[in-house]
Order: sequence, then structure tokens, then C-alpha cells
Amino acid sequence: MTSEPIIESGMTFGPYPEGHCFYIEKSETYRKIQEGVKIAEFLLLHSQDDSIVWIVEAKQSSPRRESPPNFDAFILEIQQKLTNALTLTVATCLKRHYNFEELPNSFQTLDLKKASFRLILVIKGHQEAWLPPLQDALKKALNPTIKTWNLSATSVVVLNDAMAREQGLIS
Amino acid sequence: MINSLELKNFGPIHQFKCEKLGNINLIIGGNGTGKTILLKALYSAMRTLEEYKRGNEPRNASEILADKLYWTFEIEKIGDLVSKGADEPLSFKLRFDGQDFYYRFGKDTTKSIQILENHVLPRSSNSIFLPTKEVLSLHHIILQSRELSKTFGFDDTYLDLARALRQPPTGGRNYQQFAMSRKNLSEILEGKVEYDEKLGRWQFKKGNQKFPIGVTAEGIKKISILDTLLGNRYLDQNSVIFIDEPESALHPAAISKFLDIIAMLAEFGIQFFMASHSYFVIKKLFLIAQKKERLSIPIISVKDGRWDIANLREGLPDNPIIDESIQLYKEEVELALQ
Repeated sequence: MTSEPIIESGMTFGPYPEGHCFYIEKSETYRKIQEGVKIAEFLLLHSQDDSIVWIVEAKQSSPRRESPPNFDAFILEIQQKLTNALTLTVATCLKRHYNFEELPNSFQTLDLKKASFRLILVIKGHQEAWLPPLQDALKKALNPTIKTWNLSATSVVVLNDAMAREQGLIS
Repeated sequence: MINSLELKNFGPIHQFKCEKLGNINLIIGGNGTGKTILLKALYSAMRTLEEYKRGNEPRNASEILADKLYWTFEIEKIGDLVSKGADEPLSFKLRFDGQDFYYRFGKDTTKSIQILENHVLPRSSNSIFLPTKEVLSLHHIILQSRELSKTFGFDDTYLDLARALRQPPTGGRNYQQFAMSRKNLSEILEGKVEYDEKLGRWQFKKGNQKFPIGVTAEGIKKISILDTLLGNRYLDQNSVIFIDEPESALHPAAISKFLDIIAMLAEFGIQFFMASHSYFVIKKLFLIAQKKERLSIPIISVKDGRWDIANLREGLPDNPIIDESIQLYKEEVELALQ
């Protein structure tokens, strides 16, 4: 059994094995709190190690533009979405929201003490050479989140669609 | 300005041709690919054109060039510059302000260049080469070793620079662009370097305090050299400046400001040739090329003996500096997602 593919920013994510993906942006839990809270697209358990949670945000790129028009605002938005998604994931795993049962069982049973998280931005059509500085900027913006949650120093990842395909994120 | 350039069998450079050079020319490539040799080849030619017929200079252009090549490359005989194993002689051709300068010699040439054609008009402007190492703290040693001992060690790029710095500051109004550049340089320096005639040495002056040049930061000394050459009028708007690794000893923020000043001077007329390994230099020049439409910034890259030329206005071409940044990024992605 697999989950339904997720179509975001012109990319098709998945399908993934049943119970490995949670479409947090379309969840009932998020729907109830969405006012003033931006959030990433979905959560995915690592295919080889289900103690690693990938939190994924998808964007489209301008093919001729190295940086988004307002770079700082763009980074801030992604930072907020990924941080809020991480917080809501943990809050839901802790059953703080009454709709927590919509979360697949494999997420509900996560050992939050040991679980690892990856905060991933996938940008469709972004040139490879434009990715390293973007990853550095996002990592810098997410540094408070990384420190407060004691995440790994390599938790922030920026990919284009070609690389996301190589990683099995998109089909 | 130097309009075009063609080299054959010049050391590691088997063949290089660029038909349209720009205001700022960036040369990139791995170690040992011939970037500095290309800069020095150009510099030797420019200094030959500048010394020829200046004042009472009695030597002809061939004699000046042979001397210049000998002392710039520090070789036993100038024929040693010919590419190893090359069947053809070394040849060098540049076009300056629409006029050609050409020479050629074989591997057995000791010091007499038989074939040289020069149609470039005598010049009153000076070109300069800023080597990787600063020269202020070695100023006396360079002059002593070359002028008194006449020994190899500091090549002509160092000697010419040491001599140029010895020229005293000139009073009166400087070019507006030079004054503005010096003001911006002083903001990076937060002080200025001065030659103390009584003590016979360079000092860094910050506010009312004076510091010996030996304890002054390398980056400050490096920037001070350009400041001094703009202040003593050794340079003018027709000068050509060669900079080997402008990034050496400079913080990335200082590199950025330094290149802004170079762009300003290039708009004024000075032509620049720079060899670099720096991600920051290439990115900053790419941005300058996008912002300043008047400036043409060709990027000359060498890999596996092959030379390619692109224009930074049209984007960053494939190059080993950006490739390495991507490689490091990919390693990080692999580490994160494994």
C-alpha cells in the first residue's frame, strides 16, 4: 500500500509507503490553527530509518533568477514554515491536539527523544550552482531552531527537483 | 587598453587567444595552470612598451623585452620560457589601442630577441603588477637585493612595485575618481600607510598612533599599496594593473569593497587583469558585471590545458571554483540525507 502522491509547486512527491507520509498542510490539525501560522507541505519518514523525519517545503524557481526577488523575505518565510512544521509535528506526536489520531501510527510511536529531523526545501528548476548559498542562508536563519531542538548540524537541506528525484523524494 | 592577446608555447600555455579583452579581466584555474605566467607575460610586454623611448632610454624594444623577461621570470636564458617539447617557437601578440605588438623566439634563445614588431605608440603611463605577497615590509630588502646585489629572488614585479612606491606623494588635486577610491580605501584601512623619510621605513598611522609595518595586518599592507600608487600618481587612467590573487590576506567583506573600488577605477579607464582562486572574487565580479553596463568583464578559465573565455555579464560559466562549492554542498546533502 502507498499513500496518494502530493502535487506541490509543479512537482509530484511520492507515492510513499503507507503510513510513512503525513500531509501536514492539509491536515485537520493544521486547518484549525492555520490563522497566522505558515507551515511546510508534508512529513516523510526516512525509507531506511524511520526514526528520521523529513519535513518538506516545496517552491518554484524563476529559471533566470539566482535569488528570489526578496531574498530575506523568502528565507524568513521558509524558516517560519519549517520551524512551525517541526513544532506542530512534535506537538501532535505528543497528542496535544485532539485530532492527533489522523497522524499515521508510525509517527505517533516515534521516540521523540531520539528522533532526528531534516528540514528540507525543494525548489523546482533552481540551478545547481544557485543552491549552495541558499542552503547556507537558510541554515543561518534556522540556526536558533537547530540549537533549541538540538538538531544535527546538517539538518537543513536545499535541493532542486533533479536532486530530490535522485533522493527518491519526487517521482 | 589591451584589446586582444594571443600566446603560443609560452611555458605551460600552449595556445591562448582572446580577441576581445575587457576593462576587468578575470583569470581562473587550478594551481600550475599558467595564470600567473599569463599575467607576467602581459606585464613584461606592457612595461617594455612603457620603457621604450622614455626619457633617455637607449635600449631598443627587443633589448628592453629580453631584460624584462629575464628579470620577471628569473630564468637562465629566455629560451627556457618556450613550452617544453614544443616544435614551434614561443610567440606573443597583443593589440594595444588598436596597434600590434608581436615577438617570437625559440628555445635556444639566450638574450637576443630577433623577431619583434612594435606599432604601439610610446606611452607615458605606467602599469603595475601587484604580487600575492605585500612588499612594504620587504621594501628595503627587495631594493637591496636587486639594485645592489643584482640577484634572483625578487622578480621584476616586486622590484618595479618597490620602486613605484618609493615615488613621493604628489601634492595638488588628484583625479576625482582616484580621490574617491582613496577615500573608500581608507574606510577599509581605518588609517593610512606612510613612508617615514627620517626612519627610512613604512609605518601604519591610525589616528595619532603609528605602528611599525611589521605588526600591521597583511590585508592592510596590501590595500595600502594601491592607495599609495593612486596617491603618488604613479598610476593614471591609462594604466594597466595586474593583480595576482587579489583575495590573499583579505577578509571576504574587504574583498568585496576592494573590488568595488577596482570597478570604479575601471570605469575611469584603468584596465585590470586578475588571477584568482576565490569564490568571493568571482561572485562579486559577476554582480559588478550585472550592475555596471559600461564594464566588460571577461572570465578566462583554464582546465587541463584548455583555455575558455566567457563574459560575466552573460552569467557564470562552468568553472572549478563554483564546482568545488557545489561539491562541498553535495557532500553536505549526502551527509544529511543518508
